[in-house]
Amino acid sequence: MKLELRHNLPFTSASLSHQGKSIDVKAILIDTGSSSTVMSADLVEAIGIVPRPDDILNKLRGIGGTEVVYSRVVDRLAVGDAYLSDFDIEIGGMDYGFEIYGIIGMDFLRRTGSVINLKDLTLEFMPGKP
Amino acid sequence: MLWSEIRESYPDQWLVVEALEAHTTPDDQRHLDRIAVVEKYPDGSSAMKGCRQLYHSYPSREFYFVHTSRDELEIKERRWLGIRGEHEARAQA
Repeated sequence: MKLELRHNLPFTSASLSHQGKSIDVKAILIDTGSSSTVMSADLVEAIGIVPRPDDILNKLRGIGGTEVVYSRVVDRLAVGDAYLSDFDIEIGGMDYGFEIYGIIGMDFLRRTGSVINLKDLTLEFMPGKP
Repeated sequence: MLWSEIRESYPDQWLVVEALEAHTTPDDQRHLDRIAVVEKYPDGSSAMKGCRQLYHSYPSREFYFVHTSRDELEIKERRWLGIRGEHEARAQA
C-alpha cells in the first residue's frame, strides 16, 4: 500500500464496510502516536453510522484542546490487502483545519502486522500473529 | 443540574450538555458533577454536529452529545498527543 506525504505526514486510503454498505476513505493518517483508530463522523454517516443513545463517549484530551468521539464496532476496515473484521473504531468530528478523514492507530497497525517503510513510502503487512 | 434531574425534565431526548463541574477518576472515567442543558436535538447526528459547532465557538468549554434514555453517563477520557504537521497544516489550523 502506497503512502503519500502531506504536511510531511504519512497518509493512505482505506475501505470501511458496515451492514452491507461500503465507503472508500481517502486522506487517512498513519499514526503510531494514536492508540486507537478514528474515522470522520460526516463521512461514516453516508453508510448509516450515526450516534446511538447507548453509545459510550470518549473524551480525547490533548495538546490544543479536547474532542468528544463515540465508539462503534464496524463490520470491516481494510487498508490495502490487510483488513480486520468486527473492529472497534472511534468516530469524531475531526475538525482539525486540514483535509483528514481518518486516523489508523496502533490497534489496527499492530493487529495487521504493519511495517511502515518511510524510505520507499509503503505500508506492508507481515502475516502471522504479532 | 444533576443527570438524574435532566433525565426527568427532558425524557427520551437527544441533548447537548455542558459540564460546569467535572472530575476524572484514576481509572479514566469522566464524571460530570454539575451539568447545564444547552440545546435539544431530533437525532444523534444533529446533536453531535451541534456539539462540534459549540466546541468550535467555545473551545475552552466542555460539551457532550447525550441521550437521556441512559441511566448513567459513560464517558472515558484518553490522552492523545494530537497531530503536528508541517507548514500547511499549521497555517490552516
